[in-house]
Amino acid sequence: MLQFFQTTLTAMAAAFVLGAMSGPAAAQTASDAEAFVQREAQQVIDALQAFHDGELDEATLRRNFRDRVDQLADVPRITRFVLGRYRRGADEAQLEEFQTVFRQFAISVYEHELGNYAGQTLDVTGSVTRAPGDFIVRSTVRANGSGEDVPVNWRVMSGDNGLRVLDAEVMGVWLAQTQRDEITSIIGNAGGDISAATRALRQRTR
Amino acid sequence: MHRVQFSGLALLAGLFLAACTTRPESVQANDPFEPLNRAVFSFNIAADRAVIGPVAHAYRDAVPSPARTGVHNVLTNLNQPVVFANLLLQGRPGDAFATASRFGLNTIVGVGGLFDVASEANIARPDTDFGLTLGHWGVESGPYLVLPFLGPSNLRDTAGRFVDRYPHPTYWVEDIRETEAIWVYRGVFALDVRLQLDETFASLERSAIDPYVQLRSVYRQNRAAALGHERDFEDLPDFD
Repeated sequence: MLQFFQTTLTAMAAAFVLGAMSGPAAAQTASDAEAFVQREAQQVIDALQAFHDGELDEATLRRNFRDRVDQLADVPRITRFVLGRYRRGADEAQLEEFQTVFRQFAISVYEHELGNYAGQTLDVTGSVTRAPGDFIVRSTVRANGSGEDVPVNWRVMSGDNGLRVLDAEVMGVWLAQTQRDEITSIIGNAGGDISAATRALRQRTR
Repeated sequence: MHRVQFSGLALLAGLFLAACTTRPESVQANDPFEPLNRAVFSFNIAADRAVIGPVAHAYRDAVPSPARTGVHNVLTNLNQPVVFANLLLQGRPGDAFATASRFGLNTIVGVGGLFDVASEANIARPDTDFGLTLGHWGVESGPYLVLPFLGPSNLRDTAGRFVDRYPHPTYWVEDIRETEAIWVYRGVFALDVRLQLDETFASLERSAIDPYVQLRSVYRQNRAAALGHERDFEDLPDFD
């Protein structure tokens, strides 16, 4: 249990970073979802390794990360998800502002983790098809001497632009679900006002 | 005397009732004591910043890494009888056998548990506790609780913590259980746990939008997963 607390958040962040720079895929089958995670993760590892070895500067790595985040993760869909029931009937302008700030927050959190890369690699180990276009891709983030190997599961779903990651799980804890719990709690405390969550995110992004 | 006891109980009940909330998010998160839990959470963070964290870091700086690893191994090994008993109660004899082998090997060959030779021999390291045993028996988690100094829990897991004291070797030996030695053990245990959590504290600081809710969510999901509730991925939410 305690070991879990030590590894979960960092592994989750590292795993998300590994995935967050992956590229697009048009295929819609479980094996294609596996290939999507494996192939693109390798590109990210190569970039992180180049940064680790001093061949790539931090500014370039960050720019690449920002440029490519939409090719892996379906950020608009995740944003709608984390708002839970509060997205229904919400003011359009407030929603748009929340989307912008949530995106900045997510990117800033994962950018922080880029510097923590220490030689990890990712091996896809299998997949589960939950429904057509809704897959769980199982993987192991290999520590390669810098800690313990960590199993990570990816929720990969197909959408208008092909396959995208919607969520990542480490030791039972799903990242987007956790963020949804946090955001809906803030909005609930503010009597259903979405701008309270926007303010909280803005404060945390500073 | 009875009147004093009754007044104390009434006061405690009053405090709990006053700390209750009917906010939909709190009720949905099974956290009816959220105001009280948040106060304890803030206390824990303050205590950590003021005392526990600095003492743990002083321990880290003063004691070389191999020695700290040895201490951690001994503490983990001492907990194996607790794991063993719970695995048996959960009807997992295979895992219980692996745990007994691990305990025997590490205690004898690993010099009282200083060296984790069982891991090097690829013997599995299942981990469980009486809170999870109760869960396996169908007991619901009950409301979420934040315990002073100990952190996130729930009613079931808090009860489990008390029960888990009995199969622990420190309870078997009267000279430890009945003397100051038990406090030395608890002090070292606390330092070890706090150091294990170092990166978690840093991650909470970096990534949480609301650290209290993040920890509550992480705890709930992790315990559900440890019970095998989400292994088949059937209960995942929709994204549309």
